[in-house]
Amino acid sequence: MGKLIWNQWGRLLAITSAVSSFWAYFFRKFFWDMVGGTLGPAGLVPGKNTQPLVNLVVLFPLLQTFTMVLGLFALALEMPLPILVNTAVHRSILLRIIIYFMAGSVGIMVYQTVDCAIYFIITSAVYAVALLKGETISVIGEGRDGVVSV
Amino acid sequence: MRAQELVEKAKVELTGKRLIWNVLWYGSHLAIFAYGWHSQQNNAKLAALNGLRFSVWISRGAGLVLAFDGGLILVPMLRNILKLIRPRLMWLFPADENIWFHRQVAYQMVFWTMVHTTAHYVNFINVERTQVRKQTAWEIHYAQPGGLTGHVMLLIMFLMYTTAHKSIRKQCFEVFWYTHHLAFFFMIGLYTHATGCFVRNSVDPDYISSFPFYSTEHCLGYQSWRFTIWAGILYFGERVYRVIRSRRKTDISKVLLHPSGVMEIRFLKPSFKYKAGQWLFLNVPDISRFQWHPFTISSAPEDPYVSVHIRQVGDFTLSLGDRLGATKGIASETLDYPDEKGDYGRRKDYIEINPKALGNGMPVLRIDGPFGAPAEDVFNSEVAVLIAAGIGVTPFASILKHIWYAQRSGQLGALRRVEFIWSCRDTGTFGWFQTLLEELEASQSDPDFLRISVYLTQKMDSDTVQNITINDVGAEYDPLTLLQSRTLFGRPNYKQIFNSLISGIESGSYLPGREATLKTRLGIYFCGPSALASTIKKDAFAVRTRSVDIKFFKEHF
Repeated sequence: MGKLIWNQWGRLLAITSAVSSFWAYFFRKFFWDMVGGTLGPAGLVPGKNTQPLVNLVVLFPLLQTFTMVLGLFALALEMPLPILVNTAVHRSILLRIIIYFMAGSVGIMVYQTVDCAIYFIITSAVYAVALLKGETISVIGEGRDGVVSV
Repeated sequence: MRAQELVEKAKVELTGKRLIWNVLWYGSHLAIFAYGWHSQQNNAKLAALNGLRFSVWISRGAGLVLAFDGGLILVPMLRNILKLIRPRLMWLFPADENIWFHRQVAYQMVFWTMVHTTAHYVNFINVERTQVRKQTAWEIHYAQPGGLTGHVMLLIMFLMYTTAHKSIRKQCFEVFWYTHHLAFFFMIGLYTHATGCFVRNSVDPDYISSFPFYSTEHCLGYQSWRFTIWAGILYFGERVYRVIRSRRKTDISKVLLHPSGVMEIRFLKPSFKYKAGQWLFLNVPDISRFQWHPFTISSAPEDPYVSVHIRQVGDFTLSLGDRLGATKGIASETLDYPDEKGDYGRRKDYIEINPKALGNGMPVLRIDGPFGAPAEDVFNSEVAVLIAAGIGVTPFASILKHIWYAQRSGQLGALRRVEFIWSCRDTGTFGWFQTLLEELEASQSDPDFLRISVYLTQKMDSDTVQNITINDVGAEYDPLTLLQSRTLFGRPNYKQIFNSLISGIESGSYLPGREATLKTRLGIYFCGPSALASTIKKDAFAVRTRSVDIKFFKEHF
């Protein structure tokens, strides 16, 4: 049988990772609040050391917004948004590696997006393999090699 | 256009058998979900947990659905058991569509997983906030068996579902195949998901020292593993049995090289019993210890050997050719048709290859099988129409030979006539099959029994057309196929073919001596792309009349 085209697998992984990242606006919770936190009768009280990050998740949902924007951008890249099709942005593997790695690093901070962060890191690694193997993302609409739709 | 397609699709889904299936399938899932919800909400013992309200009702309902799907997911993959029960259950469900069913279960699983997991995220954070138990959310997620196995299963699903996507399966089957073996860990995760005793009426989990290591007095989960594990045990048993079976004595007796580099491997395996139209998995440890590749059996059960025809197209088949010394290069040097001059002269035959000549001895061959639907049913129809499209012709090699043996020994059953229709893009690729057809045609004593129609759908330039025409006129054999039957050009018009068949049957010219009062059974056997299958099925059922009963079968290869 043939060879695996890593960037096409990466695409499917990225779509899955992106979709699994839209879950973090209700029950806002900083994932690592147990570090220095104390368990009281009304749940976990975060310690002083993590307070700034807790604020970024609970008071202003900045980190989850960050993940969601990156997730939406991932979808725009992978299911390509018409204006992005075949642009340098759409065809850049390096950009994907960076963006998905960022999504992963930020996602790990929020209770609901920990798994999605792990998926993004895996996706990023798969794209890294694609880059190392010298793959390019094929131009859509030329011959049969266009990205297969989901 | 798009809306119209949707309406069409909705129409198909909401009529006949599809409607029954949809109602049963989605209905059963929703009913189980409702029951799970209800039983949790009204369980007085779990009053403390019910303080979590909707999220726990949803998670428990979806959990029960997932137990149901987890029990079902392996059932369609019990290939050997399915083969045994198939003849008895064919009327109830299409046993050959097992992979399709496996996929339906998987789709349900991913949906209910989302429901279940989302609900649990809410559950755990509320456990932490209300302190109904002295625990934090992250502990339940990542430090307790329930949460941990759940997250592991999610990760496995992430990898399994993406590699099982059609595009990945097509470009690299191995990636799909190996990744899918993560199912082993997935199933272990599923069976042990409740060992943490999350659903309980005691403050702490009530662990005991004997199996299953938690007391069912206080651990009030569904205990679904007691039911679902049987499918897993059966499946595991099947896989072990298949390894044992594949290692039974198997000897390659001959390797033949046909035009276009098609290899025919003939082997002897006394323990291997099969029927016409079935397929097998083949493994050659010299090339890859773990790769098993499916091939259609091309010999008939009456033949003194078992054979498979292998086209050299992929990595595996090409290296198999190298290993056996039957490379494409040799084939094109000695056998190919037309030769360099484009001469459509007499097609050459095959050559026998001796793999031992390479000095490595005969490679070890492992065979697992047979699998799939036998075509025994052919003998229950008066008229059998065998339709092949492209590579889908392979199972018919075995079936046609089998019919020929039956014809010789006078055991044709009800079968009176056979129509064989084959449409393919170019004739060159399937040289070996034409040789078989040639032999079959030549050996027919009754000129009406077997009729062969070969359709060539490829576009041809005018030179080729001229060439064929010149060779065709007045010749006894068709210049392309070397059959007495002439090659037809273009796509077959199935509606017209069925129409003329039916009117022939009804007027009595097609089956002389047919009792007009009895129903004639017309069996249509198709092998090829599924889109074509449904068109042919539609065309066939459109011409059904009162005196002719039409059955449609799709062969899988």
